Amino acid sequence: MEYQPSILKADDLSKRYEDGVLAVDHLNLNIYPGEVYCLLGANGAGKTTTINLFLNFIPPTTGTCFINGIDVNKDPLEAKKYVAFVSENVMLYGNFTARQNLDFFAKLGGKTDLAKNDYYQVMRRVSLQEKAFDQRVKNFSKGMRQKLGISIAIIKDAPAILLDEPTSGLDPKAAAEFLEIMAELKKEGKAILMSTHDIFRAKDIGDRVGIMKEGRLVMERTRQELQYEELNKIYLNYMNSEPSAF
Amino acid sequence: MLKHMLRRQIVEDILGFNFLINFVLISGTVIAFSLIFLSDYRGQMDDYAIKSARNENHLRHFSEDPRDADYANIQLIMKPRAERFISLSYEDKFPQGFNFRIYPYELKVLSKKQDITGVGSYIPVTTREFIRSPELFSPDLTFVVQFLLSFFAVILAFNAVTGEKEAGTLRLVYANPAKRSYFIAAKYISAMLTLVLPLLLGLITAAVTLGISSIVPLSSGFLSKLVIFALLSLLYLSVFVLIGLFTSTVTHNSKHSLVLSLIAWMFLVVILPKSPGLLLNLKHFDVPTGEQIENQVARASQDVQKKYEKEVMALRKDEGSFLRFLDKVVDPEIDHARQEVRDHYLRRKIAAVLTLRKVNIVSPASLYEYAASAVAGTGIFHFEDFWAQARRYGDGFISFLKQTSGNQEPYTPFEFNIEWITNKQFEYNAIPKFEEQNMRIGELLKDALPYVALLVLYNLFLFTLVFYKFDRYDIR
Repeated sequence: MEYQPSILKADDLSKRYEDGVLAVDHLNLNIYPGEVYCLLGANGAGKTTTINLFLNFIPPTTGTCFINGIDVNKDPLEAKKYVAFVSENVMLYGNFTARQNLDFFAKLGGKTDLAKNDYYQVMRRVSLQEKAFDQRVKNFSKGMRQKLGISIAIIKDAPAILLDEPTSGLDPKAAAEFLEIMAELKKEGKAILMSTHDIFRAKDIGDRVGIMKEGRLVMERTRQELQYEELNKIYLNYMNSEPSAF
Repeated sequence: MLKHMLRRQIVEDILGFNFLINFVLISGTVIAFSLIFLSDYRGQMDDYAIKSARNENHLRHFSEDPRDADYANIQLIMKPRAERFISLSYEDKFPQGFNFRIYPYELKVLSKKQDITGVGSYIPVTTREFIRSPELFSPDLTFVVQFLLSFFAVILAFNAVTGEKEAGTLRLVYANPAKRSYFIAAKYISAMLTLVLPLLLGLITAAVTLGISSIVPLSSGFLSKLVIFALLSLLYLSVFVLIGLFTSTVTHNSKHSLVLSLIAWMFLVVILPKSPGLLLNLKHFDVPTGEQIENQVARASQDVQKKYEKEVMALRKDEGSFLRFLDKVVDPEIDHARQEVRDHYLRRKIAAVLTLRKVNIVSPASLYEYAASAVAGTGIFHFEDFWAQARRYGDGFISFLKQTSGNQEPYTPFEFNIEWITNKQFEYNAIPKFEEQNMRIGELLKDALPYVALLVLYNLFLFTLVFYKFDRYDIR
């Protein structure tokens, strides 16, 4: 099998905030093309901080994040060309239509040569209703905004996608549709890091699942390993135990 | 990248509700101010025409009978100017002209309250009137920009960063390879463009309203001052956009940045420029009243008389020498001393205004007001120039009388010799007439330069601060 370098890599990554809280503690992570990595953990476990570190929203205290081999801290603008991001609550410019938002973020992501039809095509792909394409986003439901958020990630066509609890607050149908799109993106070879609370969906979609507790990655299992184990039990077990080095 | 960010921001700002309110309020205010100005200007022109006719009458009389002292005086009056609409700059608080008495030479300020027939009586121009009163309202374009547009500048910019952070769009923007400086630059440029449109519309409305009235002559000089004023206004508004952006980069929610921005605006536009005027006016610039000045003038005359008391007594026996001594030595010195007292207090009043300005330079609103006043050629700059023109005219008039008498001896205006006009008549057309000349644009810009330079420094300082703070802003 041909060796493929990881697209997303955390190398001994730590983040201690000014108030002294150690949000991420010596995290090592490699996510490869065509792989979905689900990061589980309670609130405050360090999942969102990890994503923030990958996006250079905050600098690491020690260690390094790499996107497509580029040191995020040293060259954030270059690194961000290779990553798309979908947040828990996708918020867009309310006075702009879905297409205008898509157009703006596509251009920010470096896609300057797209036609109107390209935008419509992406919005159809995520099952956004046709009538919503040219409607102002301020009246969109959360599900519609999440779909538009994933459209933005798709249109950027970056090799890595970071998702911060993307299905939180979505109804089951919308969440299922969302995960279908994830599966398609995985097939296209995207490296996906998704933080979530949803153990069952993590098991369904994740090629690997990691559990974070107090900033440390306390467990990691592959899809194959999870066939013989119950992830919810493992999760509860780790949540009730003291963190230990992984 | 900047282009895309800018385009999105401009569309959002211009489609916003703030812009519409701004547009309507500025246009409405400018139209209302234009109408007030036109009404005032018409009154000033009528007054100026009456005074000019009176001066013409006096000069005609003087040309026919120069020994008739009743007509040997002229009122040198400021010419009404359209530039007052750009910046009134407390013009109506300054003396509106001088009474020039040909012999004995005297140049005495006339206040606004001077009745056109009340020649020679000194109308006191009190310190409080002369130094700017802390008024908030002035119906000119400077007020529109200084108060209204600067307020809108702050309102446009205060949530530039916090608003996007609260909305959640900031994270999405920065998940992309977008430079932080571009984000701030887009916000800044868009806010400036959003302010420029109502400003330009306001200026065009003003020019059109004044133009179609056909009361105010719209010269090329006036229009070029309007253009310079527009550029100056941009420099000033930029300060408040940057203040709004700054508060947005030091807070993490829009309520806090709004409160901070409004406090900053209130402090820089209302409190700071007005309070030194109130405090210093009364304590440090206690310039005497008109009556006190007249007492000083009388004392100066007595001092000179006392100085020559012995010589005058000694010369009394020889009437010819006695009169010659009075004419050549004592009287000119008395006139000179009297004029010196008046000029001294006038200089003190001007110095008081200028000192107050030095105190006020910490406020961008004051800097803008002074620069606008300099560009328009109104206010203290106008008064100083007008006073210089009045002095030159007085000197020139005496020089004319002396030259026509054929006398080549050196002289001062106070050494007027009645023989120059005895048994003489002058051709009316040859007599110098006074008409106030407008200051040249170059001179006006020179006066404005220190204030403009300080406004530029203000901008540079705030630019650096905003970019520095946003570069370290926690965008999570």
